[in-house]
Amino acid sequence: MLRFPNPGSDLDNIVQCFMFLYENIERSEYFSIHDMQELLVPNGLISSSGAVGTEALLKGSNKDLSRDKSYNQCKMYAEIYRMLGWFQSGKKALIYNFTLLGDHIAHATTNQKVLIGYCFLGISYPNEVLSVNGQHHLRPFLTILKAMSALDGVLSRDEMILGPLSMSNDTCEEEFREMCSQLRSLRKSQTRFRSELNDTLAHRRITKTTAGNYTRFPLGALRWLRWAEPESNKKDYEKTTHTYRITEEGTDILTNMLSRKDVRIIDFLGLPDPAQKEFSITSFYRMLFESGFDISDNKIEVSRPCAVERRFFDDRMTVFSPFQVLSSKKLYEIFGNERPHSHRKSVYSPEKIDDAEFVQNLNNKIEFKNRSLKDFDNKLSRTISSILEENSRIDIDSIVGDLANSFISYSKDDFYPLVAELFSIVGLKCEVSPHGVNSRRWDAIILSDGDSIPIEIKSPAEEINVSVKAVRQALENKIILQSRQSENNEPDTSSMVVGFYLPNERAEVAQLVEDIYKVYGISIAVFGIKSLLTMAIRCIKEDKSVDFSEFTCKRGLIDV
Amino acid sequence: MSEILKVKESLTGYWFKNNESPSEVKHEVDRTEYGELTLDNGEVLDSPCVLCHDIFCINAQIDDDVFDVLEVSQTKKLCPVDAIEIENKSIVVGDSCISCGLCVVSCPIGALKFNENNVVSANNARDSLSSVADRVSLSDFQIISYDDFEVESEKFLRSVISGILKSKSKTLTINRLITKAMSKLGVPTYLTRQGDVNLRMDAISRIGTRFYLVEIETLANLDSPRDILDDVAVFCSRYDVDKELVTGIIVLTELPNKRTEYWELIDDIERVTGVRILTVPLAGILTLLWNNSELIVDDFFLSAQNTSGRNAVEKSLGRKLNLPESCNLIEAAK
Repeated sequence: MLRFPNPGSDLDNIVQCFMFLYENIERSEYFSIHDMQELLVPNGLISSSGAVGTEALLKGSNKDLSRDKSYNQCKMYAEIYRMLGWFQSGKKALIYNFTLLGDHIAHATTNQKVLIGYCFLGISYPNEVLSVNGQHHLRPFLTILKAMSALDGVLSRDEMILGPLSMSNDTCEEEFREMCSQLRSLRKSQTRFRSELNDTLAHRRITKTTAGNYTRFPLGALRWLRWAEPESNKKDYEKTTHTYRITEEGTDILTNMLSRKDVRIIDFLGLPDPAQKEFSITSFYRMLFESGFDISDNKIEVSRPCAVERRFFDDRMTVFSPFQVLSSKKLYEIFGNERPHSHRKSVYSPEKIDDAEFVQNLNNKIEFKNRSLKDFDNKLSRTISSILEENSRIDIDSIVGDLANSFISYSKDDFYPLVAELFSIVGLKCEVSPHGVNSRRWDAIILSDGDSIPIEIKSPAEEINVSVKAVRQALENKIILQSRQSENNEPDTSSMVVGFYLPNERAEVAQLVEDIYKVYGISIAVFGIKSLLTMAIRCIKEDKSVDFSEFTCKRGLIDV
Repeated sequence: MSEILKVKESLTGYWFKNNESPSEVKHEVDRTEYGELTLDNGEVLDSPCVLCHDIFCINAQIDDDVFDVLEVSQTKKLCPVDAIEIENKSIVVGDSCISCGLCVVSCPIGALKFNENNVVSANNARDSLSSVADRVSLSDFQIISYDDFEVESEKFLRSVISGILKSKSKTLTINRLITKAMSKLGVPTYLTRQGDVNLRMDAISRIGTRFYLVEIETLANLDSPRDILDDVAVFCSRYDVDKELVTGIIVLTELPNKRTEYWELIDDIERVTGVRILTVPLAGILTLLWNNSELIVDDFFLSAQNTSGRNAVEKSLGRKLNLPESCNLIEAAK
């Protein structure tokens, strides 16, 4: 039995998802199922249940993709789009790009459904696009319509399973006649029909539910295309049966298709090379012409048989859809269109922006000076002092690592005071803001005579790596401080972000900091807790301190 | 062989029998009736759908020259939920319709209306029409008589918002509605590509040399002004555009209360960075759309001193808004 993917029967959604992907992915880019997820899941176009979150997925989480519902839904959609000729894959099966046929689906207007109808008729097996289980020589939608027409206009779902979708070669008239004759005879006895269906499915090791699932998509398509409509039928069956009746529109389509020569891959491959090219081009543009596109500039005669059809196909017009039959390599040779030249980089791809360019060239050095007064006594400083006394030979990095690990579960109630203590240890006056005071939106502030540095703090419980969101809040802190002047603040003095780790998307955060500086003239400095710990330990160990002025013009990611 | 072809509609259309032309179309006050169309011969009838050349109720008229890199990615469909289509030569509106009225106001002769419960329907009656091979263009057709509408009401506006929130993808629905509605109101607006780190705003508009970076929200919060700050920084820096030529727009379904930080922050941002952020209520956009008025976005600089979009809408409408006092659809309620 021919097995269609089962992404559901809602064709509107399948088309809408394609349109959304087309609108949001560059025509010159390859893309993956992860890109599809990233666009379709947050917009509610496919269900997200079962996904652990696109971000985690894209960061290389090693979760089992086979259990990710949205991933598999996207994969099935991609398979449908390939089957319809709107996507194609090259050497890597799960890397896609839009085809010229996909372009026209996206640019169609009131004629979109007509063109999609042609795409459904264009599905034929075997082909060079998709491999399917079983040895089917089948143009399924044409054969379903043909079978309906031959069987008093109706076909039930189970008849579709037993009949058209199970044919081994629908170009064989005898096999088609036998199939119709068998189905007609089985309509007289429901018991015999069930027995025949059960035997056939058992032989193919498919359960009835699974077989039913394979028909959901084609039945949804037949209804959506208005080629068939559901009908409760008593007249043609022993007992009342739920069937699908071919509509007038379906009959018109069938009549038109049957007047043409049905060309399959084997016929195509039998053509000489130049004829293959001419035939493909004519077939494609005929499809576009008949679905309402203006091909007048292309000077291709499509309303009568072309030279290849006259010579090789009995002077008849044909049914053949190159984008649904031929490999991408062959299609590029024939149509000469440009291949995509890059891969879409997801929002979460750190490589989207060149890392090196923005992380370098920043003056991140902190100057230490000799401390005049020991004015930093607090709980943390005592802890650090005792560690240093007990392990005088341990290097600073390992103390920093151990201490940082001990703070990893801190919520903001613990983490904000910790940050304030660290700045106190290096010799600065740092205050944590009280809750709920709108004009003091920053989480802490370093105060100096006539100036101040607002700090946006992200505890590890809030986010383990600093994100762009924290940078945006640091910008807002600076704007509010400048606007409302609740503390003295110089326009050029930096605004600060302190998080647990520096950002994962370092280049993206660094570039945003540069963009903000370039456009607003506001400097934002981003610290991880390890930098603050390093400064604090050095200050205690070496009896040093750091001046306020060391922080006033810092910008970018600071790694002490 | 690789260019994308244009659609040449092969659908036949209709025109008035004896080649009569419409001389006047009047609309009822609330568009609950089809337009009252008067032909040259004096005959008066309910405006019928003629399947016009452009099919204005389905096809979006895409403005060019907003931002060239985005031109190819704009959907050509007008309806934000794809609820309207041609079926058997008739305009059919599906159940997913949210009653935004984009299609209703786009028909030059008023062949669509709001039914009971605000569902949209098209007049597919063809008694007064003959079939024609070449569909007739209505692009130059001018409505001569145009009654003042008061279609906007709190109940109706809230039902549209509810329809948006219940639609399959509320973000996509509202984004498409806003961009198409703003374009129709004379502010050509494109949706940006999701995931494009250089164009982070939801949409971008352009009037003359000025760019408007648009954030569209179903819930007012401080993220929107922050988003605009980010949008402006990234856009100006990476496209080398002068900050003075850029304005932010936040479109909201409901306006935040007076005492929220939102309004003060809008003031702070302008004071410190010079970036002006306009707050445009969705209800204002819809009302102006339904009334065939103009959207003058710069009138919507709302701030702590003026938290109401009512004056800006009424200025364009030329009449009072049919909304109660302190209605958060158009102004800060408390």
